[in-house]
Amino acid sequence: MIWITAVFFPLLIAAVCVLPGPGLRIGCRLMSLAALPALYLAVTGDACTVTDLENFLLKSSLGFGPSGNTFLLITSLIWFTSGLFWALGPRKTARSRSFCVMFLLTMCGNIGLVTARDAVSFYTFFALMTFCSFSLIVHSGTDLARRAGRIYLIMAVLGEGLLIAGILMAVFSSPSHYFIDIASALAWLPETHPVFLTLSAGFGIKAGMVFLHFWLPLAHPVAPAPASAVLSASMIKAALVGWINFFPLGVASFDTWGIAFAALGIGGAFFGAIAGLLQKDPKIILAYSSISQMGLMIFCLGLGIMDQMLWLMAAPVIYLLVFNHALSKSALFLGTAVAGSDISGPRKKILVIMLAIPALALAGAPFSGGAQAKYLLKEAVNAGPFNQPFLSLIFMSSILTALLMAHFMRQIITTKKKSQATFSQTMLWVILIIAILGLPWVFHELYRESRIMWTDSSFLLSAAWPVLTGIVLYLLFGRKIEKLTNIIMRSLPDMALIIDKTWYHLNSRITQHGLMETGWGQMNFARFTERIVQSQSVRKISRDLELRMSNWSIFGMLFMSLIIIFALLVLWGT
Amino acid sequence: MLSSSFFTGLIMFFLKEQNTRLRTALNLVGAVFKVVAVHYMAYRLLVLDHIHQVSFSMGLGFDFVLRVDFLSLMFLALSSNLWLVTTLYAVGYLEGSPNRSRFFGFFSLCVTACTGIAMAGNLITFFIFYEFLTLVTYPLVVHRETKVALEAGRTYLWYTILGGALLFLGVVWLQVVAGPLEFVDTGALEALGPDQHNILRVIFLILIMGLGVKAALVPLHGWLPVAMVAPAPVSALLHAVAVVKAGAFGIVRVIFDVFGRDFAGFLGLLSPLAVAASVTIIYGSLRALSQNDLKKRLAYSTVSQISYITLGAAVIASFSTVGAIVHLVHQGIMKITLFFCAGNFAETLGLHDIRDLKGVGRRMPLTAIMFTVAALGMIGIPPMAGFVSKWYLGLGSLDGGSGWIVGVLVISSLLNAAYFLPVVNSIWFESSGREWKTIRSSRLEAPWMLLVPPMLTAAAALFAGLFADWNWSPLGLARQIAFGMGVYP
Repeated sequence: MIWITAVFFPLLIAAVCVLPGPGLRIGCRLMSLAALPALYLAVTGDACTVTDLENFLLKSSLGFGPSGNTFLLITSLIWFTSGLFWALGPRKTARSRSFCVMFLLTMCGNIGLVTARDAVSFYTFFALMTFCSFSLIVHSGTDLARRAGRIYLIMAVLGEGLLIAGILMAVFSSPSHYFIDIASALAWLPETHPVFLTLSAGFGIKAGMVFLHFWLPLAHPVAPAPASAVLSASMIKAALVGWINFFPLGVASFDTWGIAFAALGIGGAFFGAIAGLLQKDPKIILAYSSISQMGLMIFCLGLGIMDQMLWLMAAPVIYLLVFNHALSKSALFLGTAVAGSDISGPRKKILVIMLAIPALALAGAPFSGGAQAKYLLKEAVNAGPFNQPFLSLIFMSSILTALLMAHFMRQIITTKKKSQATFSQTMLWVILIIAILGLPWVFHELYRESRIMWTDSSFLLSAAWPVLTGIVLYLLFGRKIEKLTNIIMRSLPDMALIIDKTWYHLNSRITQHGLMETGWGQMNFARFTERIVQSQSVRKISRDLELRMSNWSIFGMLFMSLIIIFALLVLWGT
Repeated sequence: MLSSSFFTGLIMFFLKEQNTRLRTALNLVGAVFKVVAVHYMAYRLLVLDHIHQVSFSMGLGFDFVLRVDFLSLMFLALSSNLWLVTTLYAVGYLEGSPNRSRFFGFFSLCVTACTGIAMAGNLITFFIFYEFLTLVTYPLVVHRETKVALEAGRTYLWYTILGGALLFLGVVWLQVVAGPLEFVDTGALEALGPDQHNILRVIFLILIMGLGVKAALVPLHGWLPVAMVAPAPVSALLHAVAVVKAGAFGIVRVIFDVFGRDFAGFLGLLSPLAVAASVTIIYGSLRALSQNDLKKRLAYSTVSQISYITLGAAVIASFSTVGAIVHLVHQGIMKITLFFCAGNFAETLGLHDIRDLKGVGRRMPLTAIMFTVAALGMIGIPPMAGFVSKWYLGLGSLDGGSGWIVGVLVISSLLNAAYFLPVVNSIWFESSGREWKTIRSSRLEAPWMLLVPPMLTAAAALFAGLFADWNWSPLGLARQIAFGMGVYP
């Protein structure tokens, strides 16, 4: 029962929101509560509580997946904060209603998919989340948002198509549609089986995997701040949940896929950071930083796929990275709404310091959760193959992250936009940041692998050094770095533009193709037969025949021959 | 058994009534009565395991057989329930227009024919009702009596009569070759010797061509988009229940109950059929993409969607069978919703073109919500009903060893998304920037009789997917047909 409440409570509140009259007002108040049952469950629930929903979909099952309560905890926490942030915002208008409802539906999808224990309900919740979040993206109604929405939708539909193909194949090759069976069944498939490709690419779109990422920097920033926060902090992790659920992690080792994931992950980590340096809008910078951070997580996943023993070490790293990224990124996104050019004096200084906290946590500075995650990451890499090149790559990506965060800080300090947050929203944000400060203890509590080593100078030094390098580099060579990245990025094609153009071209090609214009491909019986019946020759023949028949001698001859044939038949029959 | 035939007779009696004064009441009473009767039969069949059958000889070795088995029950339930909502819708839709008596008379006859098709126990009975359906739907198509409508009616008649003639040829030939055949679960032709196989192949081809006209298999689909000129409830019924569905149902019957799925596969007949269905699916979707008239787009979408049923029937796997049978119902409830909504847009605001629909979601939110639900279902997005069909079709095609069909399904889903999502997008997220001119004003966004039917069907489309695993959901019934009672696949 508690599971059903946790997943479907947002839907109930959405129903309140659509009620006429005071429904919207009450609904908006209640909206902040929508994620609470899930949060409660994430904190108190244990792995054994499972709810089977007979009759629902194709027999659903809700419960903690292979990664325990981690994802539910993060998801519900982020949704709770963002929902509260929205509810505390300025007075709601009629336009807020659709936002409210869609926000809650998306919440239901996101919470549902991290608790689903079977492929069908997972896919259902995934689709619910994907399609409802479209309306969050286009909420502002600007041309920019519309374009972002269009590209998002094209990619989302492609992703859904790939996923359904992959999920079908996965379910077909396993005895049931429960994840427990699927993961172990996929372990026996050869690496070349298309199921891996479709699932990788399908989820890769959602995760902003490099080459499939281009919708992300468009879509995430155009939404209102709380929606951007959930998009970038929570929904993007759905892909990780999917991979962890489907792939036989810790059961089998797939070299090729592992290396592919690791390479794509590291590629993403670099690409996101470099591309972000080019941007001026703080929210777009954050979106690129999400690509970069997801790259690190995908890299970790690659380690786990590569070697089943390594997964034991890689899994907690992923959880820590997810946790750290989710909280910091939502704080940063909400921070873009809190910060503004109209704040000055000591308040501005406090604000900047506050903003620096999640930025530093993301970069992995000492005394932050990020540092612990990075430390464990290095340990995991050390235990695996190619440890030396990977370690140096990770070190470089840390520097890049620090650079990107420094760039973000500068952009947000010099922003021209006015602050949009109310006082209570600002207070909520401050609480969130304080929570981020407490993350290391939470990590230690949740994952025993992550120790607090704040007296260990070598640990502190190794965490501090890439961050310091990044900041110093940015302060010294900021302009030059921008120029350099400009050159690099110019040389890359703009995939979003290509997708946009392809869509238009294909659409117009298909609609204007000769095949479509004419009645090609269909036999028009009606016209065909009419033409024959009414043609001159047919008329002439029939008229002539009729004339001949009316001639008595011909008729008599025909009649006689008919009689003879009939008599012959009768004789032959007897 | 007797009581059932009595009820059926009674229903027929009611259906053929044409009463101008009490028409509405009679229509509704008839429809409700029929629904009740069908549910009673369903109860007897499913719970008491009792098969109803009526038969008498028509001479020359032709028997007239009416029988209610699982498959007929499925189609019966679909047609009777949807008939009830469509009647309600039609009453609201045609309020104050001329020739309503004629319309409702033929409307009822049309459903009688459907019922007959559903219950037909052998091919000849099936054929009789099939032709009957052709004739009684013609007046519905040309109801508006405009030049375009008459033209469309003629096209429709040409196609269907030719199809009927082919079907007749096939039925008689089969009777000559194999003697009188009733529909049997496993097919009855396997007993014939191998020397007959070539003849059977030809007969199969003829039968499928005859049925394919109504089931709108490319290239026999030409009549369907043209017949769009009919009033919205007629289009809804044609696309969801009556004509198109009758063709598809016939194909299912021929494959499963006359030839037998495995035997047809053994004769090598099913793979070409699957290819033809796939071509139809893709081609219909592509055509739909290029239409700007909402109803035309929906019509081409039907061409595409209905072939899912044929595709499912043409794969030798139980999952596919389930998919085909369940899509028979799912496509019906989703497509009827779409047509109801298109009718609402046209009737209350005079909108026919897709480009005019911008921002209509704010003016008619309920209709737009229902349209969205059904359109998403058509694409195959869970938890709507369409997903369940596609899921089973996909699993079945993998099971039957033809994985390429999954590719067809995915491409078709992408194309469906490409022609439905822009519509949904412009309904909700674009602004029209102009005043709506209201043709029919009412207290709600549209007269209640135009709102309730699509609400019911949209809810059905949602719940059929949401609670698919329930034993009495369409999927549950389809599974019982394919696997037998109480077996979980």
